[in-house]
Amino acid sequence: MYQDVDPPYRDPGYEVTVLRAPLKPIVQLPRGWFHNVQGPAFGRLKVGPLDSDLTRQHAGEPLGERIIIFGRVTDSDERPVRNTLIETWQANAAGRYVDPIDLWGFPLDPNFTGAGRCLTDSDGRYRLVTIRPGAYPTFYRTGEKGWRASHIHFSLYGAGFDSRLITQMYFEGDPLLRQDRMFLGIPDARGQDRLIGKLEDAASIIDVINTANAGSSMDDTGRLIAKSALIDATAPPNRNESALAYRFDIVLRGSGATPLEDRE
Amino acid sequence: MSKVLTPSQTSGPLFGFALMREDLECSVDPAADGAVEVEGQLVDGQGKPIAFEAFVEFWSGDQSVRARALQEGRFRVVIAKPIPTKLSDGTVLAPHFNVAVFGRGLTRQLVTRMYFPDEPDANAADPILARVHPTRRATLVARPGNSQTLCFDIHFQGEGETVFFKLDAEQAGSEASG
Repeated sequence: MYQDVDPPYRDPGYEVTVLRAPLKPIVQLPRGWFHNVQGPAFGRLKVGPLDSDLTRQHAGEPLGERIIIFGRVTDSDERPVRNTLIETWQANAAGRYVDPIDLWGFPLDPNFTGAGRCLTDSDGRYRLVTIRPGAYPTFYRTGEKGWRASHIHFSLYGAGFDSRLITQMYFEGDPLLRQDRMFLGIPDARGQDRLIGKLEDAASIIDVINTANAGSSMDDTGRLIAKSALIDATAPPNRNESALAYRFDIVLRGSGATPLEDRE
Repeated sequence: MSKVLTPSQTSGPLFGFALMREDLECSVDPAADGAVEVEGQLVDGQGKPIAFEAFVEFWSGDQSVRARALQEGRFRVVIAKPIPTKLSDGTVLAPHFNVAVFGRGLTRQLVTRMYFPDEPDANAADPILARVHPTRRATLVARPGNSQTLCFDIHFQGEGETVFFKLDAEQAGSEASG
C-alpha cells in the first residue's frame, strides 16, 4: 500500500497559499475514478537527443558542478511507468532562472537555459545530465525571507489523469533543507525523503582526459608549458565527461494509492 | 512501514521558459470547423487576478492543452468539444474537459472540470455533476461568449469558488463507479 503525503493546499508558512487554497469542500469522486480517465498526451512535445543533456544545449559548456540525475518511475502498483514524458526546469549554478520574472538579479550563464525533457524507457528508467542549481533567496511570508535549497522542478504525466505530478528534487546533505519551507511543507518524513536525490558513487563518472597538460612542465614564472606535440590549436577542446550522479526515483499514483486520511 | 507516493510541490512562478509553448495552447487548428476558444481568468481569494504565476491544463480524450495565465490572470486555449463518454457500466458522461491548475502558492494542482453550456440535458444526467451541491454546479459550466468562444473563470476562493475535486481515492469499501 502506498500513501499520499502531499503538502496541504493551505500552508501559513508559505503565505501566498492562504489566498489560493480552496476553502469550500473538495469534492471526492469514487475510488479509481480518475485512474480510468485517460491522461494527457503531449505527443507533440518531441524529445530530441539534446533535451536530456542541459550541458550541451549551447555553444559552450555551462559553469557549475555537472551532475547526472537518473532513476526509475514506477506507480503505486509497483509497475514501471513506461514511455512517459518528464520535463524539468531549474536555476543555473548561480541560482538564477532564465525566466524573465526571476527577481533576484544573479548572473545569467550564456551557456545554460535550464529546461530539460526526456522519456522513460520500457522499464521506467530515465537519465538527465545538468548542472547543480544554486540556492537563491525567496519570500516565504511578508517580512520573512529565506533561502530555497538547491532544487530541480520535475513535471510528469504517467498513465492516468490522477498520476499527473509536478514536484521538486532536492540534494542529499543540503543544509538548506533544514529551513526550506517548500520542502518542510510535506507533512511526513518519508515524503520528504522521497524528494531527496541520493548521491550514488557507482553511477558517477570520473574521466581523466586532460592529455594536453599531461607531462607538461612549468616555466620559471610558474606558468604551465604544455607538451606542444599534444596541442592542436584548431582542435576543439576535449570535454571531460565527469559528473556526480544522483538517484531520484519517483512513485506516481496508481490504482492502489490511499489518501493520507487512511493512515490512522 | 508502509510506503509513500512522491509528494507534490509547487511549480513556483518561474516555469514559463521551460513549459510554455504557443502550440501547446491549441489541440485543434483555431480556424478549423468546431474549434472552440476558451478564455478564462484565475482569481484569488481577494478577487485579484493571478497573472503570470500560474498555468492551466485542459485534457479530454486525446486532446491536451496547456496555457499560462497572462495579464489580468487571463488564459486562452483552443479545443474541440468532445463527444459524450460512455463508461463500461453504461453511464454516460456529459461532454467535458478535465482541468488542472498549477502555480505559485499551489502546493499541488487544483483539479476541476469544464462542462459545456449548450448541453443542459447531458449535464443534468452527468454523474459527476450530480455529486456537486446544486448551488455550486454553475461554477463547472462554461459561459457562452461570442460565437466561437466560451468563458471559464476559475475562482480559488470566495462566493463563487470553483468546485475542485480530490485526486486521491475514496476509502476502500465505498461506492465504486466507472
